[in-house]
Amino acid sequence: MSRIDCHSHVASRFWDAGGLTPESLVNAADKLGIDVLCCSTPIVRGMPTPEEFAASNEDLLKAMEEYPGKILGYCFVNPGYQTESLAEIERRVAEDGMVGIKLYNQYKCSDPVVYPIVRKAIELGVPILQHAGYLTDPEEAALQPNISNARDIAFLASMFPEAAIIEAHLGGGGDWEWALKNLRNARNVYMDTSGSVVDAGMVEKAVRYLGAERLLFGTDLSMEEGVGKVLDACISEGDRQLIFGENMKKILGRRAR
Amino acid sequence: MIIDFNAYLGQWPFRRLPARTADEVLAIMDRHGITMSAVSSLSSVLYADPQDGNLELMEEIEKERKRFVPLAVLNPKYPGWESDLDECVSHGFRGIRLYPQSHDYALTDEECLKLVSRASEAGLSVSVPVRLRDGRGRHWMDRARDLKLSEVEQLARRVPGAKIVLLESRDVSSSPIVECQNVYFETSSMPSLLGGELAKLLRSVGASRLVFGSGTPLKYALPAILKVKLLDGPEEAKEKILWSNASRLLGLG
Repeated sequence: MSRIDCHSHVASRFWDAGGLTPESLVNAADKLGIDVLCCSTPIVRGMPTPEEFAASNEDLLKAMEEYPGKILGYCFVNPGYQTESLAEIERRVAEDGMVGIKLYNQYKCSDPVVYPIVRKAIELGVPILQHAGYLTDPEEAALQPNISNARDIAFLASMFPEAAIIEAHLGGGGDWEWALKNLRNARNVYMDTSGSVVDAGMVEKAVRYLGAERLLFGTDLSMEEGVGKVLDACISEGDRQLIFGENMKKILGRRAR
Repeated sequence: MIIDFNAYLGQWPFRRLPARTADEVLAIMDRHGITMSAVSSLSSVLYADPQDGNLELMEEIEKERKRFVPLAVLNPKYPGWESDLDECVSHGFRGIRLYPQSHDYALTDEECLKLVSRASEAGLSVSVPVRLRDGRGRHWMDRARDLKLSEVEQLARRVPGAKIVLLESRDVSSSPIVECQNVYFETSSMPSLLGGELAKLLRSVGASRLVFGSGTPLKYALPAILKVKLLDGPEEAKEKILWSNASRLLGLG
């Protein structure tokens, strides 16, 4: 059974991730039987310029080159810079072999500024991994005023039914039950299981609401939690295989060559 | 052998838990090879009178006393805790758990210091969780704060005879609290792999002050088990973490 971590990161010049190196990430993945790591290097504060997001993607590319086939990449952009973002995506996907697009919290994903990015994702056949959360604690919410939530993502998905959109971190985006209820009928939205939260029953409930076909294994660097919650969930072995790798393998197979 | 120092039975009002009864939690323990669990009543976290939850717990585990070790939830701000403590001791409770975040007091309040002293004189350990759930998605009626390490540190210094077990802590290895020799650390929230917090804490405080816990049934048990199994440390240290330290703290011989 292959394990594809659909939500991971490597460090960049903008974020040292507590001393994380590609080597330490791969070593941890190997200990947990993770075969492939789909990584990104988002800039998580402020409004990164095209020069900054290009540099951040450059750092990711180095890690991909160091571990070909083991570390795959999502191209991070700031949709506020439309022309530069589209060019960056084109370059990173078509020329550098990146497999998806990463959007963070610079804009809510329901903002029309994001639409050209989604059209580009559809054209290239790659998924969008959208940082997301429904943060019920006011102090936490105030830190990310433009964070997208499941309702924003469901709206975007309804606008672009051909897009494959991944809502990030079931276990790191606040009220995950709220998210599942909002995503139930958003058929082109996947949810990744990543994050440090390991609330018992969360994977089972996600399977009940979304179906195993719409769940993707991820860690977001919470390694033992990421693998442990999927292994521990009371679900069928077939569903577990879908979540651990088969679903993501299909998504990755859609990329235009 | 595994002893889980961080487990619960009972009702949690903010979310439906997949296991609430003794039989349901036993099934989880059996699946993971957990021999014994130190349990307290989740209901007592929100009952006005936590003693009712303690008594419910006793009934629930009556037939499985070899697998469950009861810990009493007490509220030093609520009347009658002294007799409640005596009653719990007479029923064979082996420790107490405090929830200052939910019961609205500080660990350094005079009444709390009295309770901790009395419990310690009775040979009971005192466990305190930093949190029971991740605050980012808290229920709108759940306003419990995360416990500050400095508050636990002050308690440990004010009652040096107490054996305090800090549950659900994450980044403690570089905190001054590690200097408090009477504070033990439960391991479920500490990664072994990236960042290596558990290995750092092992180097910092030694194996004798670490105890395995899972958070069952609030949390999946396997992530916590993986963290100890993947710990970069000697097998002897893992044995201490997985059961022998807990056995000593619970007075199991």
